[in-house]
Amino acid sequence: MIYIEHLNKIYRNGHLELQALFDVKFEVKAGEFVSIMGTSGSGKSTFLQILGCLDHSSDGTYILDGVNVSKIKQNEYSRIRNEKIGFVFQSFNLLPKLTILENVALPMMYAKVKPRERIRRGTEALEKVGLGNRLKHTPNEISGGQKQRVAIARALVNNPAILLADEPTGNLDSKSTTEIMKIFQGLNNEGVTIVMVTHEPEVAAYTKRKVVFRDGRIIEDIPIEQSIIE
Amino acid sequence: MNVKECIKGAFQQLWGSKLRTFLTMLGMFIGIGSVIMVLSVGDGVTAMVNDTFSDIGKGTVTIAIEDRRYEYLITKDDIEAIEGMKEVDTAVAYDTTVEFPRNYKNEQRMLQIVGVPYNYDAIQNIEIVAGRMTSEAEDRAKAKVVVVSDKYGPVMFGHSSTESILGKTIEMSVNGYTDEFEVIGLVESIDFPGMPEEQIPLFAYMPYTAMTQLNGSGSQRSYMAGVKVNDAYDPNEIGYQIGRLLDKRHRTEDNYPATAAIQIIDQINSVLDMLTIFISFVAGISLLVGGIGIMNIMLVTVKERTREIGIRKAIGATNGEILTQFLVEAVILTWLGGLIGMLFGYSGGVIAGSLMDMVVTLTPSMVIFAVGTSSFIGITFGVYPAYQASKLDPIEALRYE
Repeated sequence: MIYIEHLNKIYRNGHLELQALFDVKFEVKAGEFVSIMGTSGSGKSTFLQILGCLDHSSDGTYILDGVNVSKIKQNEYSRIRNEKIGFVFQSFNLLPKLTILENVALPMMYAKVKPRERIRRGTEALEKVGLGNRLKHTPNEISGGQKQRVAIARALVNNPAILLADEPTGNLDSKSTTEIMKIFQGLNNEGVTIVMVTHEPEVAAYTKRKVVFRDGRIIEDIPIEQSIIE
Repeated sequence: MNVKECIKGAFQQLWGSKLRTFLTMLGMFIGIGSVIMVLSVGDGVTAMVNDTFSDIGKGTVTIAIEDRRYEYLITKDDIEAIEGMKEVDTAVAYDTTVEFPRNYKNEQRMLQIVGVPYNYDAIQNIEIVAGRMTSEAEDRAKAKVVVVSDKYGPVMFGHSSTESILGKTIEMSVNGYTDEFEVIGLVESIDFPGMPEEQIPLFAYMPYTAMTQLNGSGSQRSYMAGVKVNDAYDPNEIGYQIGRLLDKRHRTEDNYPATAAIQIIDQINSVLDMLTIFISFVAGISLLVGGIGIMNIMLVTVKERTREIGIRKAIGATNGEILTQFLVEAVILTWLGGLIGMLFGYSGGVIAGSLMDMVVTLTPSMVIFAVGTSSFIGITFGVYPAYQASKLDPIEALRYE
């Protein structure tokens, strides 16, 4: 699903250079549930941005679902993000003026799905995360945990190759955290490939594999034997 | 994302901040509104002018003598010579004078008395509303008959009906000589829209022979001639030729200046055109200011919605789709302003028109102008903010608070 080799990322500002990632090699197979950990400044966020095609690596190879992303021009990244990647953010990033159904339908609009089909698939995705009765609510009318569930529905609605989550429980209480992680586990059991950045070991414990970054390099990559399974 | 959705989204966005939308539209609204108002009223005035002058006839040329010595006056032979020109349909000699008789309230009123031949209507279309025009027999008999404006009775004698003057004998004064004339017909008053009743000019037509008889000249010569030029020729050009012909016959130089009716129409139209250009210039400045206002507010909008742009890009919006979204929003803003401006401008025109008693029209070209200008301003001033939005880096945009 994901194959990365010799990936480097160097930020340039004038003649100042800062290397954020050093020769990273990383592979994710379909159906995996990976947590990426590391302190701030370890390079994990930069890595996730590159994984999510929000940013371009300086050099190296990145193949996502059979597409050599490192060879694609940056202005075509939008299509890759739309078709192959589902994002879940720490701060939910829902559009406050749209209803939750419209929020979920948004990626399908950019994928040029017909309006009727959007409503059908959007409703289905929201039912799957337990919000089928809140379609017409706006994000301000629902709780944090519910917002994140909307974001998950939005991330999945175009059937992406991979779901990328950036600290998805960072803004949630422990009850909502458990709820969201159970949803992730359920999706993973259905075969959804998930890569999640977190700094909380309790949250990482829900995943099946742990990758740790430090100073721009992967220093640990181990399977988690006793994932929390409920 | 198709255009329909862009438009729907733009309306939602604009509706979400109604006051801002309204204030931003104001410049467009005033600019388009004033142009539409001026154009619609201007068209009405032009139509009215053309309508008024078509009564006289666009092919009519009037010749008035400068040096009025007896030997220079226009003779019957002159008229025949003019009629002999192949470009001329009819030529008539006539005379006219302006008198200021007092009416029943002892107020002076303006009265134009025209001494005419029986075939005067060949050069000027006289609208007989009752009775008849003077006849050839009356010309020969120097008959004391007169055709007056239909407002003559009400204005001069306070009659309640315009027709009660018909058949009555009234006094007419020409250059201080007074005699009694029988009213044989009524012509429609030349009623300029918006003109107060007391200023409406009154007309009286009498046989030319009777007029010269009355003022004592008794001559068969005249100060003025009216010529109907064939529609196939340019009245200005033929009028000049007639002037030269008369100069030659009387051995004078430039004594017979000709004025074509079409010249007057052209003059009025050119004044109207200048007025339109001036107002359009003012409106253009208003539109420019409005456009800058739109650009300003769109830049603010893009800044405010940075995060939204980041989210949209993260889930797959291309630069082009973001550009379209904001450009459509700007154009909808200007269209709304233009549309409302057009409606208000036209309403203003209709109100102005009803005060001046004339028909105001909203022509397709005005609608095209309003829509075209609105689109142009929207695109011109909306493209830069939209471009800024499209170029935002999604990572930066998502971080924006």
